[in-house]
Amino acid sequence: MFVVRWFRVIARLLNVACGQALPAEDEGRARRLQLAIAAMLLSLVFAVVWGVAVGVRVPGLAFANAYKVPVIIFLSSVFAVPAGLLTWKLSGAQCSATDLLLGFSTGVFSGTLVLAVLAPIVALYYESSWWAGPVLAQIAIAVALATGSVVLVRSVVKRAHGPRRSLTLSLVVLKVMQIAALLQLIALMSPILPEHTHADHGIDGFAHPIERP
Amino acid sequence: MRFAAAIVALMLLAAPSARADATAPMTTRAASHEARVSHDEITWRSLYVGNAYYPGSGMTLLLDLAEPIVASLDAAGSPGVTPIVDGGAIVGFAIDADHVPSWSDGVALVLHAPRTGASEALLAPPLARGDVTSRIVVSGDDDLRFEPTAPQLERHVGYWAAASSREGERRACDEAIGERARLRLDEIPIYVTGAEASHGIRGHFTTSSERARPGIFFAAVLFVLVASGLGLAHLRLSGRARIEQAEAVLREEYGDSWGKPG
Repeated sequence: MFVVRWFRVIARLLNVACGQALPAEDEGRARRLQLAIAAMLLSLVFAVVWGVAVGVRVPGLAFANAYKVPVIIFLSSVFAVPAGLLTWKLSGAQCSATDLLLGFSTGVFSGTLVLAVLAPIVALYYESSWWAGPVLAQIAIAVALATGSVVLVRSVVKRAHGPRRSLTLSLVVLKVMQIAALLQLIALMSPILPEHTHADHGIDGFAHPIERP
Repeated sequence: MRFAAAIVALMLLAAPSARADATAPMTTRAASHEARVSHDEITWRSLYVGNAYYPGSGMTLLLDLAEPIVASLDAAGSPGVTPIVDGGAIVGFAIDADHVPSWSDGVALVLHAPRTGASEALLAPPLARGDVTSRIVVSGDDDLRFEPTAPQLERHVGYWAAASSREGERRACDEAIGERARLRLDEIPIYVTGAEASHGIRGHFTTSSERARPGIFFAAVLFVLVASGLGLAHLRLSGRARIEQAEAVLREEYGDSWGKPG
């Protein structure tokens, strides 16, 4: 019964991700908040799958990633929410706060789902190729970020009850804050991938090649 | 007339030989000291720029250090430079002007000093004596940084400097060093003069993993708290969500008039 309920929740979230309307019984405020929370909690499970997959070659890293990757994804989302909600309020965005939260968490859910479904392939390539594994892992991250952004925009815009332009600032702030937090959390928790990447040092990794004027 | 010309010619011929053993103090405008810290050693790459010009050749220039330092000079990396050692410590450098034709532009040297202390350390750069502003940059493996704890140094956005240090002096120092030692955006230099840091700079070395430790702890605690809070919120919302679902079913059954009085 428990599993069936969660599968039903996943189906509902996928519908939201596809831009479909929620059924009437799920349109209540409490139910939408519950779906948003469920999306965040499910994304933790998907993050664990991804974390273990990229560390498959180094058992210690796989174990560490099982908690590091969920922490990174979860906290980067949590850190983005206050700024997003404040922008939503101040910009007078034409949608409810619960719709914004549901859209955001559905975006995180979809992004981590992309990581989870690509995890077996990434793990296989990490095991069998020296160069393709890391490349594939980074492509998967880019695809997941893009998916998360598209789903966020689509699901919030579909549920908006006014001009879509009023939502732009809130959505941009949410995404920028999430990526900014993601970058520094990766730096804090690195290594995630067995290889060195620019993201290992967070913003400093990207700033290092730049000389001061 | 012929006699006067002969005297001038003699003076010109005699001049270089007279200066062959001449020494002169080297007054420098600014200096850059880049420290690369390894497990047991600190390698200093120092550059003294904008040195006062003395005409002639065969001159030995003397650079006095603010404080004697225990280090060994890397001869390959320090062409034309000889350490002046007193009591086992380097107290200055003698620069052979003939070996370093561009000495007035800049004198470069490399020093190897032992690293003392794992975390707490006394950084002893080869600072020139006097009020010359020096720029110190420390780096090492695992993104090692040096954080001064010396009371005379204050932390500013993007650099450390003494309270008495003025912006114009720091800017002049950067301009004098110029392209020869460019600063990167993520490097935090320390600007000091020999007078301000005559006994070295006290502070501690930190690696990126050491700096991340409190952050990781904070992130882990926050994660557990927020995730369990959300889990609890999910459970507590179940009751209200069920009521909303029931209301939605009833509304579907009896239309929008359901629940309205009359």
